[in-house]
Amino acid sequence: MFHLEAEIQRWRERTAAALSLRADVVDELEAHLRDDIEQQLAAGTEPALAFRRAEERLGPPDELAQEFHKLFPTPKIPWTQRTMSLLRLTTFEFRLTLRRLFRRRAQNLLLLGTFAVSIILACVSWSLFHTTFLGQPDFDPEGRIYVLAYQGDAPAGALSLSLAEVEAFERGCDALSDFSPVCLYYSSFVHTPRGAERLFAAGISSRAMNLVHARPLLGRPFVAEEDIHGSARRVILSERLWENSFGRDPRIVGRPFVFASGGTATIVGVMPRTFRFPNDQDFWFSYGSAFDNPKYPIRQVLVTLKPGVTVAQAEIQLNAVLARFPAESPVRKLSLRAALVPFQDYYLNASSQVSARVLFALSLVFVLVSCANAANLMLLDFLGRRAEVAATLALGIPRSAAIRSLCFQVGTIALGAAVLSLAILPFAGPLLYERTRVINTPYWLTYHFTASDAWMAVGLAALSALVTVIAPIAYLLWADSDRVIREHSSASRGAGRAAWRRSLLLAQIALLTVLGVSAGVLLHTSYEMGARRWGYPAESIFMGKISVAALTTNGGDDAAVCRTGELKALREIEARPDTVAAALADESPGYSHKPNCAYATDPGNLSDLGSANRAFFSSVTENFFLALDVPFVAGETFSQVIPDEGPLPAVINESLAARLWPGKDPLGRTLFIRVGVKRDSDAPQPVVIRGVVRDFQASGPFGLTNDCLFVPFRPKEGMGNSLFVYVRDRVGLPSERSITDAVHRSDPRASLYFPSTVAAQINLTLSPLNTSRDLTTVFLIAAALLCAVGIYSLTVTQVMQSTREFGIRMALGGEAWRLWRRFTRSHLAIVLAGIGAGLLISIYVVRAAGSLLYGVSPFHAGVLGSVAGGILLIAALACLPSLGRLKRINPADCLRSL
Amino acid sequence: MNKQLVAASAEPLILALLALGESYGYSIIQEIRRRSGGNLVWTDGMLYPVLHRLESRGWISARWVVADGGRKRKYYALAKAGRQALKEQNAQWDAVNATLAALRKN
Repeated sequence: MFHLEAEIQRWRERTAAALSLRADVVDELEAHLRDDIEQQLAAGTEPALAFRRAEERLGPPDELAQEFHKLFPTPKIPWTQRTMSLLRLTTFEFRLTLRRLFRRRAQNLLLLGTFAVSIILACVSWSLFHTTFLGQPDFDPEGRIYVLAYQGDAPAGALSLSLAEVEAFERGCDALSDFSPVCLYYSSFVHTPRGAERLFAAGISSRAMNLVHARPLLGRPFVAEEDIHGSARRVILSERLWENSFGRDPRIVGRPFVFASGGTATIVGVMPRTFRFPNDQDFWFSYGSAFDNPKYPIRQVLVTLKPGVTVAQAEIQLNAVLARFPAESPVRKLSLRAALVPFQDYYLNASSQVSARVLFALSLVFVLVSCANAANLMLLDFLGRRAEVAATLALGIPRSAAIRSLCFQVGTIALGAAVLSLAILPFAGPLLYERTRVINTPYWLTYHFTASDAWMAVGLAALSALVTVIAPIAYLLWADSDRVIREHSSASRGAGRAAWRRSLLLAQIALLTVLGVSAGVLLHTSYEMGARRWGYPAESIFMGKISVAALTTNGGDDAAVCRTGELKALREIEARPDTVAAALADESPGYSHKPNCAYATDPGNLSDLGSANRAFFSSVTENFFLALDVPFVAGETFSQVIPDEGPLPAVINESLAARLWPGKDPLGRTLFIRVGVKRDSDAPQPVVIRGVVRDFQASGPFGLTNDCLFVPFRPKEGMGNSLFVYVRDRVGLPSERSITDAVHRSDPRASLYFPSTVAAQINLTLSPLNTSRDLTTVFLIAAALLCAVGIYSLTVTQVMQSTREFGIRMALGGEAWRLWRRFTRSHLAIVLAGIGAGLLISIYVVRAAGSLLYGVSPFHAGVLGSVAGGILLIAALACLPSLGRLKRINPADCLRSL
Repeated sequence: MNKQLVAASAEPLILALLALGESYGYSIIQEIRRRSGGNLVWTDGMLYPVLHRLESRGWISARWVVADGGRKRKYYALAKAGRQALKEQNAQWDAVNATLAALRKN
């Protein structure tokens, strides 16, 4: 439909914009246009044709402008004056913007909050993503170093190389430029002036030292002679060890370094604190002194490629060498392949990489959703002021001025969000980052708030502002001010019902549902694994490991010496005045174990059990149950004095006893067990039930079963050279110092390491779960905020666009809250659809996280119900402001506008 | 007609027309078109820069008049300086015309 007045108005706006502020000229031209049109109409021409002809005759506004500019050239304004004018204009606009923002402070604070949350999440996620995939350790900033190791389906220990294999690869592969053998993972018991300590070390060849640019603080690096297998052992200390255990002794070089097993090495240097290879090692030993046992390979090789050689080409060569290894070698038997892995990837946990990717993708989604919500709220703001905006445009104020005002508004909010993010990031960043760390995370995976983070926050704020203004600018450019004034209704009545708004809301609710269900099942899992279920006071039980390897002549398993040493250490701990009980165990609660023992009442059934009838098994000393404060429900603990032959006494848990002998007394009954990886052909071992304890979490938080079976140590069987020790005191947690002193009193060569509590150990085991739970919860909160904004803007928009309809209904006797209830029902449908879609997606998401779940089904009705209920509650709360707006509608005004 | 000739003749034509009485933009264009028998056709918008130039030189004066329908129109009238300028321009165009006529006879 052609509206002559509106067309003239638009023509006037275009001409005014082209001719700048010369309103008198525009008036005169408009008068001319109208005269021409009037003449044509009088002659019977159609209005549209008349307008087009008149417009053509007057000529394009740009050409007119050129003519006028020739006539009245713009005077040259000095830059100082121009700057001052710009400053004045900016200040004016800024004050105006602040007033406008303050008028809708609740809405704008919400907007600022969503912007800030999105920016913070995006910054931290990007930082994690960046360091995970692009971060490099200090010694390899260009990422040139690869680790030669095996890949394949085998235990981690089997993926290292033996000495012979290292030598074979060096001889047979000419595609590599550096070939520097190392032993990346090694731990040792060492006598230092502080006593026996367990330290982390790495074997490093002289070539590797050159490759990683190792420059000692004191002494010298390793030399080529020390790379030769069998050469005398030399060590280089880390500055931290030198300081903590040797008091920064300046004459440390040349001193002996005593291993708890009795061997000694010579200290040849100290590395500065800045040297961290491959991670935070305590000392480095010469590569030539590393032991070589093909059954327990410990070697890797650091390599760089020759120019022009690709990883694939080098790997082909390496695997050709591997193919010539004897067929009975473990590598060939396990069908492993040689691979070159970038150092950083070799050291990174696969789950860190996955979480970095997921986090980054999620945060990008959040930024986009918050931009969409912000744009929606801005449009809402315009709809609220539609009459004002339309009148302003109709009065000839250029649309550019309205756009400038919009940019100021969004810019101010984005600026506020950037400032808020910059204030929060230095604190929230490390916190969030810390939660994503798992055990052995490399040192270069850390978060430091740097200038680049600040720039990123500002950049993201600017980008968000830019994305946000696109839709409102489009509205301003195409808004039909004439129609708005004439109809006094929304210029884009259909826009509020636009599919994009509903789709956006639906997607947000689906995302919220997925996050809600994920967080719900993870929280439920955490609850299931909480202290309530442990069955012992984990916070107050000391837990550590005792090593008596140094007491044996070869540092290995001398059963009699080990047993004597371990029991002596235990007696010393028990002799402490505060000790209630102390015990040793070879497998420990706190870690997560697979069930390591098959059992049956009939020995003939033992081989057919498969994965059923399996329990957690451990050899323990007699006071183990007292140390863990687990009471007996029947019988008693065993005595440590047991015969060398005959069935062992055993203690089992309540549920297992009830299942094996329902309604009968289990005491004195015989059970047949097969422990660990023993073959089916091994004779079943009989045990006689001596006691039954209350159920407790024996096999760790992720254990598949909680059934357990404990026996005493056999006197002539090796107890191992290190055992877990558990201590409970009368008052509070036993101090590490007092336990260490007791162990050293038993023998100075015995050492205590990994001092902790059962609770701390459980928390360490649970760290992947807790990380996922915390991150999901953070995102859940952010998603709930976004959803609330989305629902709020949609419902308020609907009320504003249907003002006249609601007004008439109210005039006809409709009550505001009834009308509100009716129209919120349509939003409820979107919310329910979103929840449905989200639940469908969560099935896949939660299944993927199945390994983290314990004691909760992925389809837990309580979790699903709470999530759906929570979202509906958020939806209802977000709808409430629209009720207020509805109540403010004046039916009389609406009737007058008809 | 040649654009440059149209542009060059605009000033004397407007001055000559306003010498007959005050008028406004649209009316001036219509009158020129009528009197030239449709040979002189201006782009309407281009008239106004010329009018404003003449006004800035003080050759014509302008005033806003509200018509019966409530519409505003800007009327232009020849000023004293404009009469003098018209005389000079007429003399110049006469000279051009005479020269051209003499050349044609030959």
